[in-house]
This record gives sequence, C-alpha cells and structure tokens, in this order.
Amino acid sequence: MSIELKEQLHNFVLSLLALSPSRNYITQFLFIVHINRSLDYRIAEEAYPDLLKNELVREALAKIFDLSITDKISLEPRGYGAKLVDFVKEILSLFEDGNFRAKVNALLKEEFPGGVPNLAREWLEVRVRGAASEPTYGQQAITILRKIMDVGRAKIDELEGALNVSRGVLLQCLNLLKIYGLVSEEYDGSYRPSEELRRYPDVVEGV
Amino acid sequence: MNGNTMYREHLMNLLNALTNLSPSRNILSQFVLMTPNDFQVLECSYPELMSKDGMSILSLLGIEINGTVSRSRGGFAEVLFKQIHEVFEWLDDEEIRSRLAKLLDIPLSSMPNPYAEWVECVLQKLSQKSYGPIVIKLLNALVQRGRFLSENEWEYFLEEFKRKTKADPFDLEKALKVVIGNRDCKKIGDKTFSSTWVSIRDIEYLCLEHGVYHLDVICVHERERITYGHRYTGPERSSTYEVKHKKTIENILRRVIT
Repeated sequence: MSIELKEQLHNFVLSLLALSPSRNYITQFLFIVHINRSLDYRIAEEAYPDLLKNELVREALAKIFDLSITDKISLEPRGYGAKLVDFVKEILSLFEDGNFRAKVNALLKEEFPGGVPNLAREWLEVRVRGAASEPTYGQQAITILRKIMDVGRAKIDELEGALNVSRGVLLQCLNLLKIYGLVSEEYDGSYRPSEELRRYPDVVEGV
Repeated sequence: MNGNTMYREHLMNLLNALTNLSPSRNILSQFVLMTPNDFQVLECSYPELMSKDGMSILSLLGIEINGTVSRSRGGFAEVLFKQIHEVFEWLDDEEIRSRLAKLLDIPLSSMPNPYAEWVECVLQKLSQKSYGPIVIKLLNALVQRGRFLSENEWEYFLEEFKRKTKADPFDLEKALKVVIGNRDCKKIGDKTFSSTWVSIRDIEYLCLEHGVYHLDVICVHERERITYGHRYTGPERSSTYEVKHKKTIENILRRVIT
C-alpha cells in the first residue's frame, strides 16, 4: 500500500475514533439523551454541568444540535444531533466488526501497535464505569446489574428478595442503570441486561 | 467527565473529525461521494484505491466493485455518504457557524466549512477542463437568480443560458451535468382532504440535484395534487427551484473570477 493511501486510511480511522461517545464528551452527551429518549433535565445537568449549567452554552448547544430542552431533554427527530447519533452508531458497529479491525490492524500495524479498539465495547465500558462511579447508588447498582445478568431477567420483587435491598434504593439503582442504557424494562415489568451487555458480559466483571 | 471549558476542546475535536472526514480532505470519503460510478472512471481518478489493499478497504466499507462501483445497501459507505451531505448543510449554515464560533471562542473565518472546501476543490479540478469556465458562468448565473418559481421559468433560464453562452454543445452538456442531474428526492408531505363529493391528495417532495460532483446547488420543491371524484382530471404538478449555498458559492466565485 502506498504511503499516501496509508496516511489517508490512518486519518480516516482517527477521525472515526474521535467521534466515539467513549472519547468525545459532546457525542457522549447526545448518546445519553438518545438512549433515554427524553432525559430528566436535573439528572443531565448533574452529569454534564459543563454543557448545561451556563445558559448561553446550553442555548447555543440546543440550536446547534437541535435539542429540545425544557424539564426534559430530547433530540429533535430530524435535527442534526439525531443524525450525528445515527452516524456514530454505525461507526460503533463498524469497529465492532472483527473483520474490519483485523484488516485495519494488518494495514496500520505501526500506527496502532495495540490494534484498533472495539468501540462498541469501549463505549459499554465507559457506561459501566460511569454508573459505578455514581456516589450514592453506583456500587449497589453494579451489584443489582450482576444479579440481573446472572438470572437473565428479573422483576423488582425478585431482586428485592434476593438482594435484601429496599424497594426505594432498588428503584433508584435501576433508574441509574436505565440512564446509562445498561438494562431495559420489559413489557411485564421485568429488567433485562442491555444487548451490548449480553454480548460483552465480562465488562462488568472488571468493575 | 468534568471541567469548565472542557466542552470547547471536545467540540473542536468533533468539528475537526467531521471536517477531516469530508471529501476535500480524505480520499476514501471522496471516493464514497463519487459512487455509484463506472469502474473505469474511478480507476482513472483513484488508481491507488483500485490496488488489492485499496479494494479490500473499500469492500469493508461497503463498496461493491463489479463492472460498476456502487455503495451496498446498509453498508458503512451508504451511511458516510449521507453524513457527508448532512455536514455540508450543517457547517454551511450561517447561524450554526456563528454559534459554534462563539462557543469555541474563535473568529468566524477560522470555522471549517467542508462544503466550501469541496466546491473550491471541484472548481480547481475543473479549471483544467475545457468546460470549466462554463461551469463558473452557470454557477454565477444561478446565484444571481436565486430561485425559479415554476418549471417553465427554470426551463426558460436553461434555454437562455445555452443560447447566450454559445459554447461547444459537448462542453455545455458536460458543464450542465456538473450542476444538474442525479436527483435525490424525499417525500416531505402527503395529505388528503375529503368532502362528500371530492377527495384531494397533496403530495410534496424535496429533491436535491447532486450533479456529478455533488455541488448540491439546486433544490427542487415538487408538489403533486390528485383530485378524486366525478371530475377526475389527472394529477397537477408544480415545482419551484431554489439555489442553495448561495452566499458560499458567491464568495468562492468572487475569488475565482478575480
């Protein structure tokens, strides 16, 4: 491969990596809003004070990324923010593809000595660490997440009995896990690990 | 993740990444933008991408190479193609640009504009072609006019342009293809109004004329009205033509012409 093509491929890969929510604060914020469809403003402000506390910054971001900000935050369906999230989702899928990573690793050995990362897994790791580091409920949330992963799916009553945690705390922890997109609530009220966690369960073991 | 001005660094990184993925800066994005196309045309323009390694990268990105080169449905190239156009629109919007410049605390003139870069790139390439000056004349005439309120006005403009330019028909045809053609339509409205005797269906489409190099200068708003009832007369169609990226093209042409 020519040096010029190698350089172009390297720049292309670096640009895609830079957009990942695991590496960029802005796309991370947009992803969290997207995961929740409509995110409670107070929760978002606590997690992203830099973006939301200052009124001028908040309003500018709302216009730039077509965000609706009231007591809830959501992405306008046809706005650029939503389109950017869709694009970045495809980048995560591309870097999750083992064939793609193997080929890029073979072509760019010197540029990425440790190999190009699996961005879908990296983003999951960031979310698990983010949930675990929440000062009040983080650690308990991870314990609950492990339990849900062990049994595959669980209802609140079952978790309450199995873990000896009060319902109030349990609801707070499940809410935290939902915000980070680590569990989903099913139609019958039970909770399941997210699709990504089912693909990479070992991510939780390292926390 | 915290910090008072950390968002600036991350916003800048985001803009740089999107700009570096634009066709004026990256050959892979440029190739994706130029597909579908004939194998021979692309082989001539991008010989390095038609090497064994090049083709294997393209295949991983969702480019299919047979006698022709195309983007496979649902592949990454398809998504990148759409994103390139979205970024063209987004970062050429004056309001977005000025808000971003303020947030980043940089002068507006330092803000990247992938669309403007791409137009300059294309005009630079076309300056070596016999039909390059006609493209510039056509773009100039279009930005001066701004919009066409009917299909007739548009057709009349084209006829007049052809007549006044007095260019070689082959060059004229080539120049027109740079700006017009490869129409990409999406439905933006479909409403039906009904009464006892009659039912009227209004359908609206927004179409972008990509042209050969995706200068995306012309946006066509098509309307179709179908009236059902005892006096059915067939669909009535009307179109308006809008010149997009007017200010950016004007600025570039001013530089090119002087």
